[in-house]
Amino acid sequence: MSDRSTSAEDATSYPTRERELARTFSRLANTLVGEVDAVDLMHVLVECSVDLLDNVDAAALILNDQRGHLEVVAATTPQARLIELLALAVAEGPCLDCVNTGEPIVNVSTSETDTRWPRFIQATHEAGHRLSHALPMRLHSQTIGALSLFGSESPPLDKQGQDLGQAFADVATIGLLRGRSLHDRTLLAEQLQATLNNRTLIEQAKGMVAQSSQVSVEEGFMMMLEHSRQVNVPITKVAAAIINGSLEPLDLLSGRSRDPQEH
Amino acid sequence: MPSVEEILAAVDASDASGGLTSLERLCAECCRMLRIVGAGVALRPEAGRHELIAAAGGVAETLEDVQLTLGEGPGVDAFSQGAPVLESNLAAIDENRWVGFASAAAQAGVGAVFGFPLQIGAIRLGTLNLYRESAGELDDDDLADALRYTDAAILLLLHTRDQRTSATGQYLELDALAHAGPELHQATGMIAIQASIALDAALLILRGYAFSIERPIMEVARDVVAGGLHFHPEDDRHE
Repeated sequence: MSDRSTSAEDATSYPTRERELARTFSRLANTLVGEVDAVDLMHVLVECSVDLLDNVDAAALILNDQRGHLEVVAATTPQARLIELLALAVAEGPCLDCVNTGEPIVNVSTSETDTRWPRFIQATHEAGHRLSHALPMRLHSQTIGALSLFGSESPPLDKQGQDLGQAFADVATIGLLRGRSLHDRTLLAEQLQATLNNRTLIEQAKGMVAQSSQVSVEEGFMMMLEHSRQVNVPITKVAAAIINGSLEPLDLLSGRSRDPQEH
Repeated sequence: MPSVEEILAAVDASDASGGLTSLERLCAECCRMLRIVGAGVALRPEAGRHELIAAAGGVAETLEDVQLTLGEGPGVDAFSQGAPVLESNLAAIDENRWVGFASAAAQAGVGAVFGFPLQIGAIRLGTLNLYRESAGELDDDDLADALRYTDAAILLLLHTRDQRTSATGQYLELDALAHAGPELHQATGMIAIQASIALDAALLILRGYAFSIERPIMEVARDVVAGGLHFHPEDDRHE
């Protein structure tokens, strides 16, 4: 993979944005090659959304749990306000409507007074965002989830930005199915349910790391994620290793690297 | 399409029929709702013997026993993969897959099997298997129902393991677990470390504590995550 990102950086004739895009897609390709961990991929995708889309400060990927509820599987900077906002977004708002209709809903402004989603608009405003967007994770006739995006007042999400965001949502769908047949309903159910359970397992491990290392659950997760990326092991496996005791929370690489002697 | 709450309420209401455990009643409800010939719940502890603990329909009892004896079948695979195993046409599966189970299923007149793991993250309890005579995929509504019965079975299993709350005969707050936010699972992980216990025991302590002080479990979970509530080893002492 490193040679691909090098070639992207060497291409100095390209504008910065295109170099960033090239780097992003080589990172995504890296995640999609070999054993795909859908939770890992989704964390990469929400980070890419914030890095590459103009005026997007927070992003989340949300999956339909096939029982009639939406579940947040990955989110950037899981601060309390964003968590509260997302807890609401799965019950009311453009994300839910996007999943129900399969249509993108972009540039929902908190200045709209006549709104279908008064509680969502209020919560978006309180979380410090002014615009929100929801892009569908589509698979043929069904919508299996959505990419939820939040930004400040302006600029609005333009066509180019919407297309790129939609590409991220599509990559999430492909990654969930591990690149296998897009027509296989059985496979979708198996992968989707496994991914939702992996998310729960990661939450349990977050709590264990937070308690052991005396940090917040968000910091605990960042330690797990950094470790996962440094040793190139899927986040779900890192979490499972912490739970079964084969990896001590205090041995997470990022935890150790905080020690000045390690630098 | 019953919700998890409605499934639990129906199981509760069917109490009078006599002699059946809550999980057996759940299996019977599931057969009726999904128009299938059998449903079975097996416990699959990490250490120790796997055992059938509830079944509805003689077919389910037979085919659960076959799986426990031969160590192959949809339940075995669903448990080891941590994901549903949906085999919509048993007559068409690879002939090397589930050799003994497939022939027993054919003999029992079962055309499709659907195995679901009973798990909450790393807490792995067992499986729910559904047996249908006709081949064919579960449609979206049936899949949603099957997943809700799976959720209800997980909650009943936890409930029966919690002596304090099961003694009351009420499924109090079980439904809250079905739509739990991430804080519930984070709190479970924190309590496991605080009290040096396994995750399943930590979840039961959390639920039992919420039950005893009559507060919603999610509120208590948020207190744990915020650092305001600690559980200590070897008893439920907390501060």
